[in-house]
Order: sequence, then C-alpha cells, then structure tokens
Amino acid sequence: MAGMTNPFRGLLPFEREHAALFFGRDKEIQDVIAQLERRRLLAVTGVSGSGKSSLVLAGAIPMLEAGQSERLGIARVATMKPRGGPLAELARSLSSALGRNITVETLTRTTYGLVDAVKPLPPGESLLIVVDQFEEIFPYRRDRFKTDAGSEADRFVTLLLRAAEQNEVPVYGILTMRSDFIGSCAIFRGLPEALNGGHYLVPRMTRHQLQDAIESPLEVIGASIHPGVVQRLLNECDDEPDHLPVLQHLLRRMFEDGSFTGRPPQ
Amino acid sequence: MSWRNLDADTRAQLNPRILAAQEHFTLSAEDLGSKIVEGLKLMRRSCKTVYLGETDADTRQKVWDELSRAGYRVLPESPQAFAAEATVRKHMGDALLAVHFVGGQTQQRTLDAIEWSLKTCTGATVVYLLQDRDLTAEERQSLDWIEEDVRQSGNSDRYDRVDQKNLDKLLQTLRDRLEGAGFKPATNLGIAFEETDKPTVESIASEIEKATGFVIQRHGLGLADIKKSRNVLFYWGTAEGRRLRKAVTFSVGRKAFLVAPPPKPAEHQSELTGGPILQQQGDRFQVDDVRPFLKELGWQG
Repeated sequence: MAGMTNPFRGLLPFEREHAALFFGRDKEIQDVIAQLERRRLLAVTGVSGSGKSSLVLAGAIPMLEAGQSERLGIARVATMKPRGGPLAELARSLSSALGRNITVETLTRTTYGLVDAVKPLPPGESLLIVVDQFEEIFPYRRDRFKTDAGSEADRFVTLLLRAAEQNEVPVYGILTMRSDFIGSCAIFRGLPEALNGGHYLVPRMTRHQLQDAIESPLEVIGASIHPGVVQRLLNECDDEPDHLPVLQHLLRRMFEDGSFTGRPPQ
Repeated sequence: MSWRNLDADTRAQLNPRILAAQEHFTLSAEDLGSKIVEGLKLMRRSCKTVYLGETDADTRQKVWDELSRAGYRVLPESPQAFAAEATVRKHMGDALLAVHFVGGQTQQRTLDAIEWSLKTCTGATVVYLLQDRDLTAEERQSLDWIEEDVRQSGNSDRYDRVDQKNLDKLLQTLRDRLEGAGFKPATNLGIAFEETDKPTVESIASEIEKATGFVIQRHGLGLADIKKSRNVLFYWGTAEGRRLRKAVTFSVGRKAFLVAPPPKPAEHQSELTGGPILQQQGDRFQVDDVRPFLKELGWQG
C-alpha cells in the first residue's frame, strides 16, 4: 500500500475534502437534500458516531456546492461550529463563503441581520449555513454571555430562524446535532416549531451500504479486499449499533498494516 | 398457440418434454433469421454484456452497480424495456450471462424470460429466488418445470438457482460465473459532462467505444457515478463549465480533461486538476484527441 493515501478516516469524520472517498450513503444524501429543499432549515440528528457530520459535510454539502439541487442552484456553503463563539464563528464562516468581510456587528444590527448581510447573492446561487455539532450552542445561554438583547445563543438562533423563514434571499440551514440534545432545543423560542418541520434522523447503514463503504474507497484508489474478509467484517457489524466508528478505525489500521492488495489498473 | 395458453389440467397431462420441444421449435423459427444477423453484429459485444432481469429498483441497482464496476455492460438499461418482448430476447441473445429475480411481484414474463435465456444466452442463467416474497402455486410449478427441463436437457452446468436472504451469495455466484467463463472484463471509462454537451458526448462515446472496445458510461454530472468510476474523461465543450469543474473534486481515480472549442479562460482551465488537459484539435472530435489517455488505460490501438 506504499504510496497510496489511506482512504479510511478512522475515528475522524469525513470532511468536505473527503467527498470522493465517502461511500454508502447515497440514499441518505438525496433524502437530506430533498428535505432541505422543502423546509430551508433542517436538523440532522443521530447518536454519537452515527455519521451525521460525515453525511452532511462529505455527502450533502459537496453535492449542493456542485449544483445538484435545482432549487438551491449552486450553493455557497458557510460551515461553522458554535464552539469559539457562535456569532463570531458565523461571521467568520460567512465571510469565507461569500468572499467579503461580514462582522458580528453587521449580523446583530437587527434580527434580520443575517439576511441583510448576505444579500444580494448572484443569480442561480444560494447560501447554505451548516452548523456542525449544534449542541455546542447550549453553554452560550449562560449569564456571562448575556446582553440586553438576550444571550449569544438566543441571538444566534434567532438570526437563523429569521433567515430560514423569509423568501427574499435563498438562505438555507443545516444543523447537525446529537439526538439526545433534541429536547433541549425547546429552550429556544421558535426552534422546536422549525425543527418539527425539518428533522432528519440518520439511519443505521444497511449491510449493503456498509459493504459499499468498505469496498468502494479501496476500489477508487486501485486496491482491493478479499471478499471473505468483507463478509466477516459485515457479520461482526450486524448486531452492533455503534459499529461505524469501530469499523472505520479497524479499516484504517488494516490499511496501514498492508492488509489490502493493490491491483493493476483495468 | 403457446403451451402456456393451455389450462393447468391439460398441461399436467402432457409430457413436459413435448411441451418444451414445441416451445423451442416456435421460438427457433421466429428468431432464427434475426438471430443470425444480430448475432454476427453483436458477437464482439456479447463478450461483456450481462442481462439483468426485472425486480425492485433497489435490488436491481445493487446488482447493476456490482456488475458495472466489474466492467460489464448491463442490459436492459431501462425497466420499461421489460414490457417489450423482442427487446428482452435481443438483450439475452447479446448476453454472456443472464440474471433473473423470481418471487412475489414476479409476473409470468419473468418465467418466460428465464426460458428464453436458457435458449439464447451464450453463458449461464442465474435465478435468484427472493426469499421474502412467496411464489404463487403457479409460479412455483412453472419454475419446477423449467428446472426439470434444464436437468433433462443436460444443461445443469448452465443454470444456477440462488436461495438466499441477502445478495452476497448471488453476487459471488455471478463473479464465479463470469470469471469461470474466462472473459476478461472490459475497461470501463466514464464520461462526465454538462447537459448542454450531451449530444456531442454521445457521438464521442460511440467513437471511443468503436475504436477501443471499452465500455463507456455516460455519467453526465451524476456525482455518485463519477465517484465510483476509476477512469473518467471530463468533457467540456460549449457548456458553461462551472458544474463540471465542481464535479472534478469527486473523482479520485484516473482522469483526463478534453477541452473542445470555444476556447476557455485560463483561470477556469486551472481548476481542472489531477489529470492531463487534452485539447480537441479540430472542430470535430477525433479519437486521436484522447489517444494518450486511452493508451494509459491500456488501449493498444
């Protein structure tokens, strides 16, 4: 395997740049895009290690950036995590996605500050804001993050909700979140109503999807795995609900140890 | 009159071998002329075509993916084709292997198709019995008869029935059958393009197919297909090109870019990374335009 890039991420999620090696979630990617087209704000939830971040970052986002949704056109994507300050992170990610400087002050001028800050968008384009690990928002409701306008977390959520409910500018949002935090969202006014309309619970991968996730990354880099080994891995995964990170870790180690064979190009 | 039009009691009284012979005679007379012509025309292609029968979209797609990835052309491409008897027969005549799915929603035409493939397919016929879908009594009986005919005609080595809950056994059977047939899978080459360039790409694909014998898959901007393709030619003609350039990041396999007139801005061409940029030399495509890439894929021409 010398000279070949390890196509497995181990315990790390797949990021946008790993889209070409992300396999086994074709149906879920289409489902997420379809729901987003209908609702504009979508929460993608699942248990820890279910692959929700990977599904969004390496699955849905690259598809939307490449213009695979007629409704969204070509999406400019602002990806952020709340840790580090949700408003500052939002400003940073928007600046990066739109190629112009957007400040926290601009965003917080009114509750429609986000909409005002990002318009106009070029024709045929939309803006997608992805808040990965949305559960990191909850500490920002504490007193020390409060101003007259409410806590930083409240202001951040309000900006997202106002942006998702207007039709003037095509702004969409995806929140990825651990499913055990979904109940806590009720502390934000308006958020439960929004999430009731747009919520996607990441399903467990089927046996065939897992097989795809094992074999296809190897296939595209010109390596292969013995079919018997694949079956053994799939059998071991069958009854384990949290098999995905373990399987990825194992595959990554197997690759490093040279357990796969290179193949001459066809 | 076909033997299938007889009622069940009459059929039960007749010798199955006589019925089979009658059916065979009818089919042979109908198809002989066209088979000779089509057979000669498609002899080359038959080395790498697999007939994939009718079933639910999900199951068919899984087997389709597996076979396509192994370099085989899978027919028919559209499920609508199953309603056209002549088309189904033609595909089977072209095929190295025929795969059928039996159970539940199976219609009589699937059982007909199994019989045709035993007669016309150059290789084996594989029947996958969908476990979670019960056969009707009539379907069960028809299948029993077909299998009895297979045994009596000494064709058991050309027939497999797979009864499994999952597809793995079926896929393994197909691999064994295809490898056992001694055919080397053809080289797969995918072409990525924007919709505007589709008519041009169709003629380019045909020319490459004709010259090289490669199996050309028209990906368009189907990113899932581009991801799974080991060899991709990105064609950029009159299309705007923005979506095509985005799609490049989905390909980690071997790739090349064919840039045709009108001229493209240099800054846009700089986004075409990971493979050689080949310029179309004239107004019309020539195989020579992509010869270096085809050679890299193993073409000896």
